[in-house]
Amino acid sequence: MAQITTAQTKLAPRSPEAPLLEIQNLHVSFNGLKVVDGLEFCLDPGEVRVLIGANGAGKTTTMDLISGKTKATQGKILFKGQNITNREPHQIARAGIGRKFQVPSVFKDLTVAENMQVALCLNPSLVASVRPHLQRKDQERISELLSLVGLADLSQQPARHLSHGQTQWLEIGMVLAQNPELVLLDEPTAGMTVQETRKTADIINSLRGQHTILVVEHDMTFVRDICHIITVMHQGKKLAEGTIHEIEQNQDVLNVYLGSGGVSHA
Amino acid sequence: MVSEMNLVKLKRFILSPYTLFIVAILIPPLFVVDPFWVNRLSLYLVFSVLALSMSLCWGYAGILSLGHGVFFGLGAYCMAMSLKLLSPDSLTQGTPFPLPDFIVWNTPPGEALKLPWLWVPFQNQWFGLVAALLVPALFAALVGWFVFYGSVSGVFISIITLSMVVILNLVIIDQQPLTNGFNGLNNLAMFNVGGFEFDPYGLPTYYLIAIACALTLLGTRWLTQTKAGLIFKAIQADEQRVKYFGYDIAAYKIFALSVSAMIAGLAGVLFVINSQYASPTIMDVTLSIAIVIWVAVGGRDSLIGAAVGAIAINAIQNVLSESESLINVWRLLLGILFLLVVMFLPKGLASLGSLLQRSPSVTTDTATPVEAVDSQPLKLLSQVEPRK
Repeated sequence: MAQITTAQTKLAPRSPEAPLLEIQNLHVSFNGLKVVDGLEFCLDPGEVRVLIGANGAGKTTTMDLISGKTKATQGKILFKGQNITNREPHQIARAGIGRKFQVPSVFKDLTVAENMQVALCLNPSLVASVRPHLQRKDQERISELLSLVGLADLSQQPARHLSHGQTQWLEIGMVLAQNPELVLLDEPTAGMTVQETRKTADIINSLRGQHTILVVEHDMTFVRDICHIITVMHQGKKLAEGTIHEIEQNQDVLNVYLGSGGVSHA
Repeated sequence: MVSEMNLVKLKRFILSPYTLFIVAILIPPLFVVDPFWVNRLSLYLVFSVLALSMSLCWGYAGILSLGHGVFFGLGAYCMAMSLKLLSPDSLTQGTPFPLPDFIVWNTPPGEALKLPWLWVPFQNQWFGLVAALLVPALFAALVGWFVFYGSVSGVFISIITLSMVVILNLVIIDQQPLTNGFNGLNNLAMFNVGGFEFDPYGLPTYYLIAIACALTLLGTRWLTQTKAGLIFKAIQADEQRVKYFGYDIAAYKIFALSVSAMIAGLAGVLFVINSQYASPTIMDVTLSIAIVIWVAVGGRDSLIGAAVGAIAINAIQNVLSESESLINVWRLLLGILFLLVVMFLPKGLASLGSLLQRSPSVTTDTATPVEAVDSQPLKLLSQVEPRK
């Protein structure tokens, strides 16, 4: 644990600070099946954290709970000290949490730029929306973000014309347009080629320090590229937490992944 | 170079379907002199306002309301109540206040004649007009609040709105002492602005309705081009996803339904000015479904398409049903027309227009890539920034 704290002080020079996200004894079950079962972990401001675990470990459900898609049966989620457990998704989004879904979810009929405009909701209230949407400030921010995710040349294309990888980047861009303090990325590299994965890692690394990022990921090369601290989940609980080196040596983790050659081959 | 750009802009403005539509609805009175047809054409425009209301609600916000007759009817009744009180009959009942004739008939002998409290504020025509816009909007907001915050979606919204129109229709018929039941409100005064009376068969009334229709078209177009309009499209595409960007989608839908209801209320006002009556038949299931058909045939995600659809279907319906040779088969012909549109133009008549437009523009697009043109202003911006 001591090592973790030092790693974090390196990452976020602003600390010591209260954790940005605090998950306390979180439970949820579907038809009696305990999917998340007493999960506890904390995220510090500015951190890039990866959540790993076998299929069914409860990673995506944890994301669902944080973002308000699923309601917890027990436990607390604190964001900036504020209790956001079981709030409505739009309230959680307004509090400063943005999410990229596992299945890329963009608006296929809208153009890339329009998708970004939807996401760019500095003020998502209805009153603010009833006015022409193309303000110069917004346009600058959108073009900035589109160049960050490498889609600047495609801004006028309908989103349905994008490749799988480009769709993933668009959704990352959209989440960033929300300018959330906490970014949840659910398998951002799923289905990507090696080059695309590398580019995604670059995008995430360029955000370091601006956003706190929680990533669910399987690809260990990618995990190595982007983060220091990993939280391993197993059967709805936290199994281990530490640097990638520690996790690879961790006996519990090795036992769980027995037969698959350890976490590196997960 | 600049003048060339302006010419292109001017050409685009003149040839835009919106300009063409507005010009087209202002022209007919120059040729049509028969008052009967002037009145009838303006009725078509009233229905096109109603179609715009449905297009906004269904085509843009994705709410398929089968009860828009309620909003139309509420608007019509509010306006008709005022015009009823201002009619010569009501003013000459021998009471110190105006009194509709049916209230006199409904009052048992020996009882004092009095104006029901609901009617009192309607003595002012402008109150009636404002109420005709606000009552439908507030009613829609109330229904929407229950429906959308109750997470009702899809076909259930249609069922709820359909039952809403049935219920309100029954209430209107049942409340005979207040509404004159089945017979509705007729024998109304003409709409009067500063002493000028709008004769339903006169050109001024046609222009009043045509201008209201044009303004509604421009207003709805403006609304669909705001960010809210974009959010409506996004909600249609993937409602759940929009929530995670922080939008309260129920609020957006309530807003869409209310604005749509207000426009339907405006159509009700125009209907009363045009037809001089309001009765339960304009607030029933048949009309509510008819609106959906006009909009489906015209093209629900095109405002112009919806407006044209309403005019076209009503015109065809009138022409077919009134020609002697077709008197027995006109419904069949109309049905075949609907089938053909649904089968071959699922996006309605409006897709004809975009098909025509698309084929030539494809070639120009390839010649000058869109991205190249669009990235120019962005480059300019980034050049400007360091200087600041």
